[in-house]
Amino acid sequence: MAGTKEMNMAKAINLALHEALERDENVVVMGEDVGYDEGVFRITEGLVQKYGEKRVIDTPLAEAGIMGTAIGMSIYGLRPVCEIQFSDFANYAFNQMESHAARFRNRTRGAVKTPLVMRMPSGGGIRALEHHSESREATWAHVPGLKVVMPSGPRSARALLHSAIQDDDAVVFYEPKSLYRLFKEEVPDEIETFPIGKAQVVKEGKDLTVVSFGASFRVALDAVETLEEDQDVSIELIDLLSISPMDHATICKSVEKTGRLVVVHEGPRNLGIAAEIIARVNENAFLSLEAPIKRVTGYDVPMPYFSKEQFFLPDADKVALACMETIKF
Amino acid sequence: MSQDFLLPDLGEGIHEAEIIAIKVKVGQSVKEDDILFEVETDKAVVEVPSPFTGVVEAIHVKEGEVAKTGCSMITIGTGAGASSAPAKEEKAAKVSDTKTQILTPVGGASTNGGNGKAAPAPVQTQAKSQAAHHANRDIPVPAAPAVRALARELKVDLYEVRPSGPHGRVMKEDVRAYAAGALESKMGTGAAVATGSRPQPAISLHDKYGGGDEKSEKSGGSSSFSTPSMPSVPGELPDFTKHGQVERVPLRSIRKKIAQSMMKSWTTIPHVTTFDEADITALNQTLKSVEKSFAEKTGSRLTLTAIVVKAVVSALQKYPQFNSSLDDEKSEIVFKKYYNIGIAVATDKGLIVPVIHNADQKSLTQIAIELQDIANKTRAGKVELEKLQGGTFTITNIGAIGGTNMSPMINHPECAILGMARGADKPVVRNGNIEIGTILPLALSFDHRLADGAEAAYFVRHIINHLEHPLNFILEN
Amino acid sequence: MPRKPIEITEKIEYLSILDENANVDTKLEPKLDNDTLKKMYRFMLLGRRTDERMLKMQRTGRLGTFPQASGHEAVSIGSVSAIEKTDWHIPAYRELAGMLYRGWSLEKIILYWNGYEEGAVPPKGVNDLPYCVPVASQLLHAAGVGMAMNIKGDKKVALTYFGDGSSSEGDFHEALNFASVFKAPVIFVCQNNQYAISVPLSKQMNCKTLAQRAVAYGMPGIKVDGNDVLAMYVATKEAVDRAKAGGGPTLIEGLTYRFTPHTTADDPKRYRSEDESKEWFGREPLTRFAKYLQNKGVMTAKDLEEMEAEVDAEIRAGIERSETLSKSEELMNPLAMFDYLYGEETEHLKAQKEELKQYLEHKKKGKKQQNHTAHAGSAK
Repeated sequence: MAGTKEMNMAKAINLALHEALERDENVVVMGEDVGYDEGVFRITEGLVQKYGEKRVIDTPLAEAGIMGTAIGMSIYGLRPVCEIQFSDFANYAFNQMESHAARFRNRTRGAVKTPLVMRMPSGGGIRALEHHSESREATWAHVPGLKVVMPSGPRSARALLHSAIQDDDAVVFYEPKSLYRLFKEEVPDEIETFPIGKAQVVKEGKDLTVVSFGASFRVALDAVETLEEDQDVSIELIDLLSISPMDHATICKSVEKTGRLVVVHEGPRNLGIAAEIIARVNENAFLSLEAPIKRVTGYDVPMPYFSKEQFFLPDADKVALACMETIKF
Repeated sequence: MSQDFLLPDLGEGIHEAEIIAIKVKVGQSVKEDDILFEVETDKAVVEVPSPFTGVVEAIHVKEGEVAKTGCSMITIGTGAGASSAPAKEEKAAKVSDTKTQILTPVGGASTNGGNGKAAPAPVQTQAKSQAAHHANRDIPVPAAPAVRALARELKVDLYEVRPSGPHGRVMKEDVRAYAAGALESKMGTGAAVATGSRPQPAISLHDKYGGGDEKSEKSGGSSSFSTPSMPSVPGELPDFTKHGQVERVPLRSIRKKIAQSMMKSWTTIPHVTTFDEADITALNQTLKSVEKSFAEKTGSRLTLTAIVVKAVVSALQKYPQFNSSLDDEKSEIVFKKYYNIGIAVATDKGLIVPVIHNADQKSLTQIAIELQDIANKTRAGKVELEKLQGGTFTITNIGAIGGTNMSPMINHPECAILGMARGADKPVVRNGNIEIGTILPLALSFDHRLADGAEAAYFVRHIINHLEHPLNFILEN
Repeated sequence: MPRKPIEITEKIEYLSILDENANVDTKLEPKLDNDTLKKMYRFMLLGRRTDERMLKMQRTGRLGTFPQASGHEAVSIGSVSAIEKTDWHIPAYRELAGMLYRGWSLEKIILYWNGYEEGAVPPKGVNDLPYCVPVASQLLHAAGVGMAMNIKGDKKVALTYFGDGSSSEGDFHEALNFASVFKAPVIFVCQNNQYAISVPLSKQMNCKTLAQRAVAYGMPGIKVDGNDVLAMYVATKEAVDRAKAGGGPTLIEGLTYRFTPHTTADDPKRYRSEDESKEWFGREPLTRFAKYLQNKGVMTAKDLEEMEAEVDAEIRAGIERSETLSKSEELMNPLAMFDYLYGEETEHLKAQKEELKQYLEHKKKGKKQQNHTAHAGSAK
């Protein structure tokens, strides 16, 4: 295809970082092992070699330190793109993000801004060590003042990261680590951005709406494609992309059309992203509902250590079952 | 099913409680959480709420009595249809149903989800557990929000709608079907259907026959027609003698019966007449072509009327409302499962309507023969009593005389009457050309309480389709 | 293999120039012109008097709970007077005097402690961050600002403050570490008033000095008499010069005392002895500096009196302005809470703003009806 290149998500994010460092001298990349080691997932490959130590910074091992100094740097005028090695360790930085990155603009009535990006690999599915597989986007999305996004593939990763870097607010950028090298996609040569706060209707349908994001999106896509082959059903599939702010309008519009909804995500069920979606659909599209909304999610337990990880994660069968039960209700 | 409610453990080592007040009565409907009793323990007066929704069947305690924890206080009947909790989803190993296929409900009769063919359904008895719609207004009808919104929009009372979803759930299709008055799927199992129909209002031989005797009139002519009277406001008519000679004749017998009957029909049934035309060119030719052989075989004529009888039966089977009567007293529609077609016959005494019983079970030949037979007998005044009774629909044909059309009066207490005027040759447009065709005017007068204009139009069209394309007769069998 | 001592070259010194009796070490005395000295005193005075007035306001319900700054003026003014306008000032919450020095208006400070976000908006043209409540967290911001200065090649410094309690927080350590590793031009000034609310220094750390923490992070540290504005000035100036020359960060410990409770909701008698307080009150920073200025002939007693009157009038005017502002439509508008979350409007906030708006209108209507009824009732 002219004007595009096939690549996996790791390469797509790397591409976006290269492009961002190139086009804006205020962009700096920082984190543990992002420089000469090129990142533990090699996402920051080639950056320090090209842009130097001043702009591609190997930081001490201190997540609060990384985000706290990034806040200071962003206030000063830089656009730091920070890597937290695994989203599980972002908790160290939670105070700086919640107390300051999320608040500076508001508490100074717009005078002080913190345009930074906190990017981190998240989620399970790669049989990792303990404390390396959690999905806690709901916790972070609950903080008013932060933006939280999660792409579902190479193209959306590249586009969303550019949007995040160009955004004048603090953006938490989740990278589903199981997708880093899972598949390739055509990514346009020209830089494109996907607006933060907008979901994408990836596939139209009329019997059921399925909403998902991240690695679960691929699971949902798989289930939907199989169902449409085997059953006489037509399913509309939405990629959430932006967790906060969330595109409730697109979801509700779809539910008004189909009357039925299934939400799929990896994170724990209790107070998870699906709960918010369901609450909004209740508020805005209640009269369109023909069946209770179902959610296919992880359980309210820490991710089991990798010998049992596959039981926790939503898989295509779980999704298909939920879809058919909802359609047949 | 009946559920006993035992005095619960009220906490903190309480073993017994005095019944201070009983808040409900036997036979009373209660909802979950309604207060049943006030009881007093060592520590406090406690309100005891109902754990069930249902009807109080029996109360086992008295006010002032000391009840022990665990003793049965009250029995509440929770009918099978009373609970509106949705069932657990069944885990399907291989999902094979689609949304448009029939959902097999648990506990409800199966229905056609709009697939066209009316599934024969068991006749509903009036048992409480197998409600054909949710009659208990103390409990919400199980229906999804979208369904409720639709019902509100179409001004449909959800309690009247027959549910087709699982566990008695009302689906969107059910609401739509109800609103459109698409009763055909519900006719067979309709809530209003009762077993054992009421007997036809007895119209005695004297009334209908009016054999021309004062005797019959005296013996009870007007006894069955006790209700609607003739307008007999004295002084309402002008003095005709003022303008010329008059001859007064007592109104009796058949004429009187007809007058009373027509009066009743006119004043109780809101009449609407729908007019249409059938192109019977081909049919006439067919009739002509078989005239000779038919006469040879049966000794009778195969008339247009006979065919119309068969077409009417077919239409009545498809649109049963036209084969019904309205029981105003009981607010019930009486759908007749038999098809007795009355044929209006003009006699020198007046219009008499003998009836072809079970016309659905008779062949065209049989009907043609019977038609001729009873018409002759009626004119001769020799028709059997039973043959004048039990009609469910009437056909009146003035075609032999002439007439371009008419607005017939319904033969009370039927729902409708089909009038046929003369089938005349007229210019017709076929494929953009003007040709000569034999056009049969049809007029259906119907009781607008039981049927609507659209249905009437469909009904007549159904008949016309059979007259214009007789192959339909064969196809529908 | 004998055990070899490892030499740690960094040393911690104690600096004092102007003692509590206004004796000055002329060798160490900084060469400051009269205007600068007067300015320094004025803002120490303004800070003190404002703080005192604010306490009176709080006790009469005209101000919310706030942390008092009395006693911290020398640490604040001594250091802030050593940086340029274009340098960055990143306070904790005892630097009232310093913020006033930097150009924050009195009305803004009072608005802030009265619950208005508008009080946290930095004055135009001043590279300051507002008060920071989560202790120690501002240190990382300062480190980041310093790192950015390096990246940008700007010859500036970031001056930041923290308390003795804050030095136990992780952010303190991470900030010093980052700043040191990246040689960021940051000056970390500790307002060591020896108590973190009620917890004394002896329970906060097991070190002889706070300043020696600098050694652990490979940066220079110095302990200073925190009630000595001249010593604070000198120490800070050194640190500024060092930083601008590429020498990285410095840690300055200013030993001082809190003249007041931690906040207006605290009672220090519960944990500080009368004797100790008395002793430290005797080391009060303004008194000695006033004496010094008089001794130097920079100000007369009359000048000082006049300055008091001026400051008093300034404070009154500032309070009045703040009270007028707080009644303005803009500051009274609760709907503004939705306007500053993000750079652009979002659907969900727009909807919530509308929801609150309608609720407020609904309540207003209710009140109107009540008034109407009350009127009708009273007519009887």
